[in-house]
This record gives sequence, C-alpha cells and structure tokens, in this order.
Amino acid sequence: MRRFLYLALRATSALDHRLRERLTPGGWLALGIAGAAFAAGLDTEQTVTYRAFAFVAALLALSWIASLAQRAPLKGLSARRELPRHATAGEPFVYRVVLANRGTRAVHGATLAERFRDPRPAFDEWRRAREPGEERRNWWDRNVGYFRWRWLIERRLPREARAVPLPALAPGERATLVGSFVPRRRGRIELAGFTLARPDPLGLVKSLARIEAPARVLVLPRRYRLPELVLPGRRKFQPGGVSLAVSVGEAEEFLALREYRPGDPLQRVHWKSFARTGKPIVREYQDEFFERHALVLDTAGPNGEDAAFEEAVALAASFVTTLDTHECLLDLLFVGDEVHTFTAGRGQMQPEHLLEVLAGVGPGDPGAFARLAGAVMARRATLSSVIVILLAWDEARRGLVSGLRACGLEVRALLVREERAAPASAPAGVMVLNPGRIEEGLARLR
Amino acid sequence: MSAPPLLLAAAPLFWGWQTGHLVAGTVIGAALAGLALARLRLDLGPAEHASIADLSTIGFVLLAALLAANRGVARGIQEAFIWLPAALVPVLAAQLLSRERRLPLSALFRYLRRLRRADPSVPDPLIDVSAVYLALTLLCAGLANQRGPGYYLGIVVLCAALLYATRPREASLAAGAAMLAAAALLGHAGQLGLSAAQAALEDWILEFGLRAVDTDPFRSRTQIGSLGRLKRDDAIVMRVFAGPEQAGRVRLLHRASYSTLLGTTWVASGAPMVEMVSEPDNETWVLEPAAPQWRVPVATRLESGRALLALPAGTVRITALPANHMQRNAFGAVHVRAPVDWVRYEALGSDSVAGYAPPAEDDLAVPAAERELFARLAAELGLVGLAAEAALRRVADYFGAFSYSTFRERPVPPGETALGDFLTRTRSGHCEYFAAATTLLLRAAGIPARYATGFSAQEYSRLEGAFVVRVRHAHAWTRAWNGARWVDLDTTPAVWLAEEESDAPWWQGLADLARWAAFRWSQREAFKAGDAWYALLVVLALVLLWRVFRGRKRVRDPVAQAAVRRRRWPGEDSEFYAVERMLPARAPGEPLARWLARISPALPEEQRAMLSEALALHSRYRFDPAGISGEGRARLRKACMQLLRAATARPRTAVPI
Repeated sequence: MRRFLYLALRATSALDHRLRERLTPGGWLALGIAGAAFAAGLDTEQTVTYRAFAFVAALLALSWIASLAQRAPLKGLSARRELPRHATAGEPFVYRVVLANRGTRAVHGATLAERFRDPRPAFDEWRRAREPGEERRNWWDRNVGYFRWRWLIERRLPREARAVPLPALAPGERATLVGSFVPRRRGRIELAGFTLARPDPLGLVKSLARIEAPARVLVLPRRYRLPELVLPGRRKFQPGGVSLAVSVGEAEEFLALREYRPGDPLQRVHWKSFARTGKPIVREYQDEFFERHALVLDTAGPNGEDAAFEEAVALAASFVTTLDTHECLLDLLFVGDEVHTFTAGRGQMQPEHLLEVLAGVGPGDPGAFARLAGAVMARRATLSSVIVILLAWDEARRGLVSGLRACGLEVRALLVREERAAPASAPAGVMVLNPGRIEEGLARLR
Repeated sequence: MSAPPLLLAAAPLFWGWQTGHLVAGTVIGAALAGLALARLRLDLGPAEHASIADLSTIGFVLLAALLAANRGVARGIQEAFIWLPAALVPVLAAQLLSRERRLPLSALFRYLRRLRRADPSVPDPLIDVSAVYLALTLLCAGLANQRGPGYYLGIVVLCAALLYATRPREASLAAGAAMLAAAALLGHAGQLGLSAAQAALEDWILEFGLRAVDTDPFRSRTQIGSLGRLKRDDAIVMRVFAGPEQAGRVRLLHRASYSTLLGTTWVASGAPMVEMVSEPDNETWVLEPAAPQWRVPVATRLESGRALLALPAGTVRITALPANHMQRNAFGAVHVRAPVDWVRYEALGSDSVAGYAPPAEDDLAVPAAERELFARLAAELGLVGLAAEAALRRVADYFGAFSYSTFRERPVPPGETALGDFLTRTRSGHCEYFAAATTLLLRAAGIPARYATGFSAQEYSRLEGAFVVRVRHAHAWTRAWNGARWVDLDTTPAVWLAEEESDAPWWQGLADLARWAAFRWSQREAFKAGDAWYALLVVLALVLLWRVFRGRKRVRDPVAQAAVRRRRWPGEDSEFYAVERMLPARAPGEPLARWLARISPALPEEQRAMLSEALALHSRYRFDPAGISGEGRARLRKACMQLLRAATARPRTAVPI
C-alpha cells in the first residue's frame, strides 16, 4: 500500500511538473475550463458545457501540436552559468547566464528557466523521513504522507526561480542574462540545466528545449546581525601550542635545549644533540597562550530538524561570522553520530569553512547531548569563554552550563524554542529566543 | 491573466442571453466594465477582501440551499450554479476597486488565512481573478442548456477575444487566427461526436438492462433469451392514491404498447409521438373526448425531467399536471417533460371508450421465425375461428400451467427461438416471455394483439395510503382486440409478485420510510419570500457593506499612493528601474553608469541622450540627501516614459559583453 502511495505521489508530482513546464497561465485557465466544462457536461442532454469542453480541448490540442512544431530554433541555443561560490539561505542568489545562439534561426519571445535536479525523494527516504510537526497532523495526512512528500521536495528546491525573458537573438549572437533564486534552506542545491520555453501563437502551451548544465551551489545558513560582543580577553595555555600558528601574538618560539624529562613528546627530541651527547636532549619552546572560545551547537534537540533547529544553526553561523578569529581560536562543537569539532582562526580553518560545515549540519540523536557535554568539559581548561546554543532545557543542559560556569568560564547560553514550548520563566542566565523573532531577542544579547 | 474591460461586459451579457436573465446580465456587465474603466480606488486590505469573498460565498450557499429546497437537490444546485457569476460580482468588483487591482489569494481560501494567522511569513500572492471570472461566466451560461448554436458561437467569439488580448507579443497573428479557426471547426466536430457518443452509451446501457426505468415509447428491448437472473430494484417510482376498491383498475398501469417484434425488441411502428396542447389552465390534457367516469390520483418520479406516464386503461383525460410538454402516440403512450423530480396528476377515465388506434395489419403479424410454431400451437389449442373472448380465456388457461421464473440457466438450443424454447421445453419464464408468447399466439389465431408494458400496482402501503410501485414492479402483458375495444390480458402467473416480494431485503421497511419522507419533502410548497423577507435581506446586505467599507478611504491618485506606500528606500519608485528592465541585462554589481556605457553603442542616438539625462535625475532622486525638485521628478518620469515607449516599440536586441 505504501509503495502504491509512493508511486501515486511520484506520478502526480511528475505530471504537475510537466504541466507547470508546458502550460502558460492561459494554458492553465484553458485546462481548468476544459475540466470544469467536461464535469458539468457529462450528460450532454442536461447542459451544453460539453461544447465549451470540445472547443477548449481543441484549442489546447492544436496549441500543443504547434508548440512541438516551433521547437527547432530553441535547440540551437547554448548556455553556461557564472556562479558565485556560495549562496545564503533566505537571500536572493544572483548569477549570470551567458547565452549564445549557435543555430541558424533567430530566437525571439523565449524565456530561460533554471532546471533543478529531480527533487523527488526515494521510497526509503520518504518512508523514514518525518516532517517537522508531523505528529500534529491528522491520521490521514500522517499515513498518506503527502505533506511529508511536499516538504521533502521543497527542501531541495529554492523559491522564486522565475523564468527570465530572453532578448531577440540572431544566429551567432550572445547575450548575458541575470538569473536568480532564493534558497529556502542551507545545504546544497543541485542544478541540472536550463529549460528554454516559447509560447505557441495562441499563448497556451510552451515549446521546450533543454540544455544540460549540471552544477552545485552550497547554501550557507542564514545569519543574523549580532550586537557588539565583548569576549573575555583572558589567554589560556594551549598545551603543545598550535602547530600551524602564524607569528601573531605569542607564536611558537624556540627557547633552548634541555635534557629529556619523562613526559616530553618524542617529536621534540633533538636527535643531533642526542647523538652528540649520548643523552636524550629535547627542544624547549615557549608555551602558547591564546584566547580560545567554544561555540557549542546543541544538535541533539528533541524535535529533529524543526524551525528551532534551523534557527539554532543560523545563530551559530551568525556567531561564526561575527567573532574576529584573527586574534583568537574558535572551536565549533556539535554532535551527530559522534562529536565533531572544528577550529577556526590563527592559521586554522577560515570562518567561511565553518559556515560550510554548518551548511551541512543535521540533527543528532536526542540522547547524544551527554557526549557533546563531555567533549566540551574535556577542553574547558583551554577555553576563555563558551557560547552554548541549546534546543531544550533539561538536567543535562543545566549541568553543562553550571559546570562551565563553575570552572570560571564566561558562558553565554541561548535557548531556541518555540514560544509555546519555552519554559514560562526563562532559566537564570539563559537567553530564550523564539523562532521567527530571533533578531528581537538578539538585541538583548551583551 | 487579466480580462479587458470590454470582455468583462460582454461575458455577463452573453450569460444573460443564454440563461434568460438578460436584464441581470446587462446590469452586471455594465457595472463591471464601469468599474474596470473608472479611476476610483478604495483602500481595501486583505481583511476587507476576505469579508467580501465570504459574503459572496454565504450568498451563494444560501441561494443554492433555497433553490435545492424548492426544486430538488440536483436541479437546485444546477440552477444555483447558473447564478454563480452574479454571486461572484462582489469579489471581482472589490478587485477592480482595490488599489492594486488584484486580490490577495487568502481572500479566496480560508485555509490560507488560517495558515497565515499561525505563520505570517506564509506568502499571500496577489492574483487577478478577472479571466477566471470570465471563464466561469461562460461555463455557467452553458448550464442553462440552450440547445441552439448560440452558445458555441459565443464561446468561440469570447475565447478568441480573450486569447487576442493576452496573446504573446511576438506571436504571429495569422498563425493564431488559423489555429483558432481550426479549433472552432475541430471543436464543433468534437461536440457532435460527444453527443453521438452519449447516445451510443445510452444504447449500450439499455442493451445491458442497466437502466432502471425504460422511457422509450418507440421500442422495448426485452430480456428474452438472456442468461442469468434479472436485475431488481426496490426504488419507488410511482404512488397511486387509489383505495383498495380501485385495485382492479390500477393493477395494470399502461405506459406503452408495441406492434412489431424484431428479434428480441418490440417496436411501435406507425405510431409517432405527436405534440399535445393543454387546456387553457395549462394543467389539463385531453386524450379522448369522452366524459370521465372515474379518477385516480398518481405521483410519478421523473428521470431527468422526463417520464413516460403509467396510466390505467381507459384514461381519457389527465388533470392537475403542470407539464412543459406532452406527447402521445396512437398506442396510448404519453410522454411528459416537467422540471421537477416528482410530478402529480389525476388520471380520469371511462370504461366505455375504445381509446387507442384500431387494429392494423402489424397487429396480426407474427415473425417468420416464430410463425410455424405459433400457427401449430394455435391450431392445437383450437383458437382459430374461436370468438375473441373465448380465445382469450383459453389462452389464459393454457399459460396457467406455466411457471414463473426470473432465472435462465441454459442458453437457447441451436435452431430454436427463445420463445419456442419457452413454449415447448422450459415452460417457465418472466413476464416478457408470457406477454410476447400470448401476443403472438393470439395473432396466430387471427386476433389483433399488442405487446404492452407498464407497471403492476398491487402493493398497498398503509403508511402512505396508496399503492406504491417499485422499479421491480415493471411488467409486460398483452393488449388484445375483442372485436369492439382493446382489453388487457395478463397471462403471467399471479405468483410473480409474491415471489419477487419474498426476495425483498430486510431493510426495505426502513428504506420505504426514508423514501416516503423524501417524497413528502419533495411535495412541500415552494418557499416564497415576501416583502418582509426582501426588506430584511436588503437591511442585512447594507449592514454587511457598511461593516466592510466603513472607514475605507478613497485613494486619490492610485498609482502615486501605491508607490508611496510601497517605498522602502528613497527612490525606490523611480521609473528608471522599469527602463532598466526593458534594456539588456545589467550584470550583478555593475554600476548603472558603466552598464549604460556598455549598452549605449547598440542604442539609437536620441535614446542615449535621454538615458543619460534620466540616469542623472535618477541618481539624484535615489542618492542625493537634498532630494530632487518636483520639476526634476516630473522630468525623470517623462524621460522614463518616453524611453519605455521606445523600448516596447523596438524589438529587443542582444548586446555583447
């Protein structure tokens, strides 16, 4: 039964897509008239709307035939994109398309639309996925899975990907167009190519020609403007230093040679002196003291990939772009199957790389928060301050925040929850932010 | 898609012509065209549009309920849809009066409004419903079922006008006209084909006995020779309000007689239906000029507004029947058309009239395939030369030894006819076997006879105080000429009714109660609104209008006001942006001046100068903290409008980058 439902949804989506590609607004109206006239005129003795059906169906059929006949000039067009490296969720993504008419006939009155890779989910993905808030849907919607299907498709497709009108193109001519769309969410958008379209003389059905041009766009999370943040300037000892640190601040400086003491790493043995003296001699370096901040993203929320989760990722991205990592290190920690840690600043990753990481973050198992908390506590000695973005407020999270504070660390804890799910009174020292009203809440952040 | 004002006037006019509401159509058309052309704008927001749409919906639902209550559900809903264009006028009028000349989608869908209440970020696009309104008007005109060529011609002309108004700019007019002409011809052929297809489908349904009540007075297809059990239906199709004392008179209610047997189909040859004219009261129909001796009130269910009336033998007059049309043939079939689900009438009759057409040659014809068998049987029974009355009694006695069955398990043996098999081997069958065999046997004996169909009213309902006639009470018998008049001879064993009764489902009693309630509901008086009701409606409408429009301000200069309201940054409403969209594309991040320098070589000389001036003014308007003077703003607008006109007149060209 589920397989049948899946096939039905798949076929319906395909038909919908084909019709959207083929029909102009006038064509949709004609199709609607034809359907309504057919339904009202089923009994030809009772009404005469079957006559309207016959005429409009004939119009559509002829338009379709004409659209097939006038497809040839479109096939001579070629196109290539000039894409920026990244897009941002919720922001218009603008790029250039260079179009050339390599055919022998002029093209006029056509449009160019971006074509995305087939966004329909596979059966297993559709069966296993859970739309945010699906538990609140009724029995029928939950079991038929239409809304889940739509949600899965919309995740992959941007909005406002409108067709761009083409200028008249004589054979051999080139033109540059501006394409744009608005990614709905962070992640990856797969572009398949272009669809060139041109309406038939009646303006009901479009001729189509496809140009294959596969490409990918990485969509970074949306970011919020943060207020001026003053992070504590206390530098902490970084054991072993930072191997790739550059010469800013207290860089890794050679001090002297000394005799080996138990516990010294073997990498620091100075082999030439060892050979000369017969005793193990090691290089001694000046210890590293950096500011190091941790950005802890709670990906182990109870509701999976819901609006609060997305807002939490956006918040994390906002901190990544706002904090100046020239003079400090920033650790991003989150948990998926395991705890992931990425460090930016001082010759490590660039903030942009952290954004790319955040673009692909998915929700982890709700029980995995303990592992994340353990990882944060394990590195508390090296940290100057911690920013914790939480999706729930329970004992484990309370323990992490109070534990970090007990270590003398400055902790900024932000709890992102739906307004109705948020605790009546905000926990002490925790800023509660509601999805959709994040900026309003962030204005209070210091 | 937007419909031009002229079409907004023409479509309601066409609707009025087709539906017979020409005055209403003219008023609606004039009002819509006037609003489309007027410069008056009101400050209507999504909430007002939603209220107006709800008002239209409520009005339409009330109208549908009233019409359904008065004229039956199916007919009432159909008539309500005929009035749909009138019900939707407020929605379109609100669109035409609004500042944007479009409606928010949420006005039409409560679900979207609910979504937006929960999440205001759900998009609520503005839509233009004028073309959809136009399409609905054309469709609703077709519901009036005007069978002439006017509807098709009107559809073709109005669709052509709409397509012309919304045609693609670069499209070839000649090609479009040719396609339109071809579509008109193809559509005409298609609609003829659809009509013929429905006729063929109905024939097919008839063929397979799926039709509940046969209403064809010209032919009667029988189930003679068919295998399996006959289909039965308990639905009540007639109520005969006669007392038990009239049971004999209403036992056989005649609908149609047939003279010629072709295969398994009886045909009424030489008896065309002729139109009848009612008496001046429009409710009395005289069949025979004889004084009535008795009367039987009857209620008959109509199928699609049509019925072949079932009448007691000897009916000379039908009264209290407000039919639109009545036809009859010489064999006594009476066909009526009336726009109701149930029709009531009184059958007035006399026992002393010959009534129907006298015997003709066809009434003695026996098909060649059956001739020998029936001649032999008539001889065996000694019917030839016997007086008609005696012959009828003997035939009735002969068939008294047969049994009744609605089931046939084996096919007719090769070389035999179904009737021959019935007479010589099975000696069992349903009423069509008995009626056909009796008719042919009498004819073989030289007695004119016809095959008659109708109903047998024998089930008296104390609940209703009437004989109820169900679909399964459909019956066939013989109408024989006794030398002076036609008499009914029913040779089917009398047990047939009891046998069928025994197969009735256990819930028939309950179902009958529901049928009776539905019948009583259909017979109620039509609701007629008095002056007080109309006054109340007017007051309610005024209150609702006041609630919707109170505090709405008239927008004096719609374009400028809209621009001011929408402006989010200085200079956002500059017309230069429209000019930019009409010219070759500007690369992302490319300054306007550089872009202009790049595309200028491809532009005519006079446009270059005008563009430079427009750009300078636009830049001041957009970025100068001191702003731009009123004169400068006017110059900017004028320059841009000239550039726009030039750009739309000239085909767009590509510019190499």
